[in-house]
Amino acid sequence: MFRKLALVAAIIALLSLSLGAAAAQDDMDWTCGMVDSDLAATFNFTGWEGPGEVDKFLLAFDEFFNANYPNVQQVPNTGVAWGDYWTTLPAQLAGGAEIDMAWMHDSRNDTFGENGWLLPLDSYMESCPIPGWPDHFVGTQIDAFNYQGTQYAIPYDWAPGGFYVNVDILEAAGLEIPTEESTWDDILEIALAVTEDTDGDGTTDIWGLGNLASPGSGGGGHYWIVKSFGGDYWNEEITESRLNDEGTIAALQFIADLIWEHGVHPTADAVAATGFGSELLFANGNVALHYALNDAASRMDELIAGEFNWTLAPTPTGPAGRYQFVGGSAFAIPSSSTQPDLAYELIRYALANPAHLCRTATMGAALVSQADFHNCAVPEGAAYADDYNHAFSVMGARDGIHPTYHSKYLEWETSVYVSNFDLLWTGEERDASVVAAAAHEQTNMLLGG
Amino acid sequence: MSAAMGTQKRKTRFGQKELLRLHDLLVYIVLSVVGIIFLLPFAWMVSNSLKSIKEIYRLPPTFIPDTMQFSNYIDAWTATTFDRFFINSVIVSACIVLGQLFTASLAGYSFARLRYPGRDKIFLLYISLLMVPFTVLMIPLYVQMRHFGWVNSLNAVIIPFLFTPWGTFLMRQFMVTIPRELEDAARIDGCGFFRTYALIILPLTKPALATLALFTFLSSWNSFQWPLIVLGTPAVKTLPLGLYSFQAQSSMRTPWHLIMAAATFVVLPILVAFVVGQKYYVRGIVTSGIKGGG
Repeated sequence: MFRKLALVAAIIALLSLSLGAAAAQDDMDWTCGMVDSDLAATFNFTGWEGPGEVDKFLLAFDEFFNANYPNVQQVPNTGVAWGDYWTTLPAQLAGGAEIDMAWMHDSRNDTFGENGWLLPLDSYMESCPIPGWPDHFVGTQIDAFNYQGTQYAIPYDWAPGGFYVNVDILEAAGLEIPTEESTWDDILEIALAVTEDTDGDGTTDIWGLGNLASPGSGGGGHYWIVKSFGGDYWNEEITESRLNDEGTIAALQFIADLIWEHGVHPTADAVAATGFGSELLFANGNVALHYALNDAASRMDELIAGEFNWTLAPTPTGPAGRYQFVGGSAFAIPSSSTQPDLAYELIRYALANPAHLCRTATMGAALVSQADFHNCAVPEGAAYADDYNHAFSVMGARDGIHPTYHSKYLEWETSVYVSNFDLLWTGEERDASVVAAAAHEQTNMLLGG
Repeated sequence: MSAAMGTQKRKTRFGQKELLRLHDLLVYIVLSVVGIIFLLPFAWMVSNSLKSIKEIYRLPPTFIPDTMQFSNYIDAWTATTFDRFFINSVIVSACIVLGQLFTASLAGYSFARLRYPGRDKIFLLYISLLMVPFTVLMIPLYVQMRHFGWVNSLNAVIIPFLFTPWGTFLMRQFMVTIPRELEDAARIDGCGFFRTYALIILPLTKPALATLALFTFLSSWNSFQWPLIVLGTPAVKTLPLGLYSFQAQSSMRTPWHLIMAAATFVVLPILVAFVVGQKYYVRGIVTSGIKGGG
């Protein structure tokens, strides 16, 4: 009896403690005492995410300003499409634009850091630390926004890649859903088995694989495959290209062969015919294994609308091991910001307040960089929840990788990687070694120049 | 014999006529096909503007919507401050068109008619600005706008574009074709430079002015990159930026049905301007292009 009473008392005590802690968190002062609460100013921020994507932040921003700085007027300039964002933002920052906070990408951080367009955040983080930093944040993303020992942005979300699986297609062919133990040969075997011209008109109606290569694909999207074949883009010191390494060429040839040799991956023309992209082919039941980042899951579920059974699976293991792409975005403060202190307080609030981290993760199907909230990214009760968590959160955290970014990465990706390797994806050149040789030479010029 | 030859001649003439008709018919067919090809994207835009988002994503795509969703137009208009974007675009385009007509016609008159030292060199220098790509000017222009306090103001998208080397070139080329005798007569009647410009030259350059107005309207109405850089506040955004604000990072999250409806709004004024000014547009180009000279 006494034991039971003690147990109940312990449970009650634990509950009150956790409730108390939650209440304390709610009451927590999220300012760092650096800004006058009566401040009347405008706060400009910019980002590439558009309607339905940016709301996750805007709610948090509203809460922060209403609670702490009611006289600050927010001026959002969001929804600048990805490609245009990286043209306009440098032009604006080089021109001294008064942008107080900017949404930053890991692949661009070093370029912006080197050009002096971003404010180093280390002293801020020392004087007013971000709860959970750095132990509770995803390591690859902390590193990605650190350039030459200086933290220029604080990672907010990260996105690992994985396979969206049409379970019905695989089941009909008597095939198992791939796992992280599957090899590229297993994946090719599945793809060959399910690729089919169902109506006999001479054109493929179901492809085994999708979205592994399309014109305009950036280097980050293929890096995990290159690594899994033992290749790389450059050496550790980033002084010399490794694009002509055997492993790099083997990986890129493997991808190109999926389209041109095996016919198990849609051509660029087949994708263009949808008017939208590869996602639509998968959502319409035309692709068995579609490669995409985790943040496409909730929208994919809406598009499929129960027409077929689908789930998620980890990407395979290559001859040189298993690697999984991770990319991510972060909040940065431009060096021309007129309200850097306020921007830092806002970033700190957005990154660490548990009251909204889960909500924003759910809204954006985003894995937030705070590892404690990874379970929030998938809607409660979703049929794909367990597979999602395994394929993205667990495996992504274990095997996540991205190219070693550097200050010339932005230039390299567009002028070297895309312009050369697009030839493979469009079929203008079928031999990866030919394309890699040209890209290798240009990369060396860029790195040495 | 002569009667027989007459019949043969008539036959030949008839044959030539038929041949000409056949030639015309072929030309019309080819032009119609080309016209249809050019119209297809617009038709596709209107078709998609009337579909539901689900139908837009359907494969294979359909051309005629299952159910016409006219509400897309209302939704697109009310989804964001489209009226504000529309007014801003009208203000910007009107100011630029009127401004360029004024400055380009005055400058063109000066380069075509007035005599002063270095005139042709200045003209050459001015039109050489056509060779400078806008990308090179973006950052210096942005710095300038910031110093003037015009960032996030319509001034930044109007004032730098009130002057045009291309328009000046067009006007000058047109004005040199106007007989000098008309000017001489005006001077004899006591007109100074400005009255001659306003009362004699300007009315005679209507086709060139119409061409310039139409081209300027098209470019300022559709202007995107510079406004994207310099206009960040929703209150000052123009229509192309408003249209752009519908677009999500992920194409699968973008409300394409609303974008297509909004795009139809955006295109309509251009279409009206072109239909109204078509005659001047063609005449202006032909006249200034063929008769250009010293």
